[in-house]
Amino acid sequence: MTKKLLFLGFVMLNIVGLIPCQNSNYLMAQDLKKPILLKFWGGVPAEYGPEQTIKAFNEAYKYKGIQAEYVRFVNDDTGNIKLETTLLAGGDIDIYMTYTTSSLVKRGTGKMALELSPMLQKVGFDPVKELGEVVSTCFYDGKVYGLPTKMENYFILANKNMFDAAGIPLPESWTYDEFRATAKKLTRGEGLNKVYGMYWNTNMEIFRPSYIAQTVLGPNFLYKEGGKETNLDNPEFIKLNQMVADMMLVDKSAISHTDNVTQKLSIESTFLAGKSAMSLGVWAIRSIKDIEKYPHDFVTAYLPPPVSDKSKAKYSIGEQVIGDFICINPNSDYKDAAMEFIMWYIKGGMLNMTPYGRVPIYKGLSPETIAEMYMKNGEKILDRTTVLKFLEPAKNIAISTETNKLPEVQKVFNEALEAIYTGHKDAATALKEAKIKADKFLK
Amino acid sequence: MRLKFKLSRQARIDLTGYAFIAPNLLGMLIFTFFPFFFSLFISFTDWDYTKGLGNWSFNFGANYVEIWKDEWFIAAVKNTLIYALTVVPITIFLALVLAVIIDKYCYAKTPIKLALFMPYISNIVAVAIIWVMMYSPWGPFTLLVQKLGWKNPPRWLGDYYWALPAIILMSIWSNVGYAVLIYSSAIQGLSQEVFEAADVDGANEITKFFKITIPALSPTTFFLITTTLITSFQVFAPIQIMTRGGPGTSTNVLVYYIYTAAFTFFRMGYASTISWVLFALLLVVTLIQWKGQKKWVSYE
Repeated sequence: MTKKLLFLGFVMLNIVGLIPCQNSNYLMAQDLKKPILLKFWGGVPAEYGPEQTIKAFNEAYKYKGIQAEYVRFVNDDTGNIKLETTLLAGGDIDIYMTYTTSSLVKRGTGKMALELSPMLQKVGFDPVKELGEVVSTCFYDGKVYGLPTKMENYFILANKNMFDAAGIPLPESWTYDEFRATAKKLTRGEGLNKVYGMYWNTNMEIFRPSYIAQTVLGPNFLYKEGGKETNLDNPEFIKLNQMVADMMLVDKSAISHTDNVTQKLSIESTFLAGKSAMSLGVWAIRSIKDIEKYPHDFVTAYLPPPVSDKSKAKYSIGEQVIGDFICINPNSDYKDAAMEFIMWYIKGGMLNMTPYGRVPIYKGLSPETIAEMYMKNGEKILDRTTVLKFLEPAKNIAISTETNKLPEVQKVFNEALEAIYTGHKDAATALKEAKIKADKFLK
Repeated sequence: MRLKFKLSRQARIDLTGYAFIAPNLLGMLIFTFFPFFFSLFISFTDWDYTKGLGNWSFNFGANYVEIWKDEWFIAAVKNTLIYALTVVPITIFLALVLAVIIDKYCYAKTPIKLALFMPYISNIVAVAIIWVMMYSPWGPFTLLVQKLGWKNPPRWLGDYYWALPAIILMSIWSNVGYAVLIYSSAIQGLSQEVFEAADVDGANEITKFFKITIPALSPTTFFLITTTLITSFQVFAPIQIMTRGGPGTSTNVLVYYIYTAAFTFFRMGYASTISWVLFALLLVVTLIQWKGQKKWVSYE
């Protein structure tokens, strides 16, 4: 009698689905003809690609029992905290984007990102073969916590019309001195009508100009070998940041950091409004193409970043260039379906994002298709020759993976940069002091 | 067999009562008491929340030693004290003067008080964003200062020395309405006989203000000092929106540093330690006020 009751109970539990079986959710959902709904979190505003991507996916998977929904988080400190706390609280996220290698390491080791290797093996996808040798530098201890989906080259945005009007040819390479002199030549006017040569986008992230030092310093440029000592007083950082400060405060050929902060400036309110001839921001293509929101008729060209010494610059800047790491939440109920989405996205689905600046890293897509998608709706306002050059895969790319007390080191560095850019201290003094302060955290 | 529970009348009344307070009590237990003890517990650990629950690494009070060597913490304590010790007295003094002026010399008292109260009930995020614009080089505040003769005013929020005073000014502006409202109602409750007696004795307005109004309003002043001091120690939103603690550490206050330690450095244990130090600081200040009130507050 007892055995019979136990058996009956077991059958009942199985019927209501309380006893798990392999891939239960996936299969059950399909059996019941109720599609799985994948929640995909990303930092790009929905209208700049994700909306079109999700629409295409839902169309393609209409009869396969999987659908997706996009949730946007703002890719700043607060937005990333929101994402991470939602992940840690077991929130409703299946797939999400990580934008920096340091965040990827943190999320991977913090059980916020699933180790993808076993699943990749199962679906027969070899990241190194399919995406390129360079992706192996994004693995942490051989573990794949997220797959990079895009790669282009780092560039400086330039208003070609202003260069033409000043009779300055678009450079193929340049040193800090040449760059500074060009910015000076491009500066004109006074007061509210002033047009600056350069807009260093330091309001969004004060650290942004410092990425340029990576061309000489290579990966893990904030640390000395071994990660036990910081590299903040490196002459490359001093030279670069003194130049940035001098452009802001001495030449006045760049919008000052103080103006940047107090007026909450952006590429859209400066470069796209014709207030600066050059700027930083590889992601800005989505705003450049949004003529309705940011009306302008000038042509944007892409230029290489300046280097301190052409003979020493061996690396391509890796930060922001290789990335959009796509991750799976370890707590997701639909991991297989999430992997299906990732494969679809990498192998071509993300072409829907390309008109807004995401250049696929997947080798299976032809460069011509990528170029056409990138130039879509931008023929009149993008300088095809220089732009296409930057879509080619970067060579000898520098990717940082050292994260020893990185948030603290970064805060010390940022405070030093603030002092330099506001003229409070010169670069050598500020960065030497910063190194001493930051090193204390590593001991 | 059916079990029969027979509750006494009193027990049923008690249970009904408990049922009514249960939602609130549960909320209190989960959202106040649990975090309270949990934060005390993790303040003795070096817990990184990304490592998950259970991965505590006890450091036996090392956090409480470390904070005193932490330059960011020291700067945060200094800035918080400067903020609180300027915002509180200026707000209260200004509110008192305004309340008396409105009460005695103004027509349309209610619309004026309402106008003063508006910033207090406005969303602090909106207020802070508007003040960022006010302080911008082309903003109304900067232009006003220039018109008054200061040709090259500083870049307020972008200046190492002026950023904190700029935020203090905004806080005073947004808090003063609340204090005016409290003072106004207290003033209306004052006995007119005392003022009439003073008139008979030939006291002028200034004498009456200092000798009668201020002492008679002392319980209200005490209440305002205590509450605004506590909220001043907890200032966060304007800092996060207007300066993010910068330039340098010039506007880094305690609560903002707790936020940084927790969500930028991922040191939950350390952040909890700072929270407990802030709690201790507030407790001491409040106790001093409580003891001190006997000397100057008169409940008549």
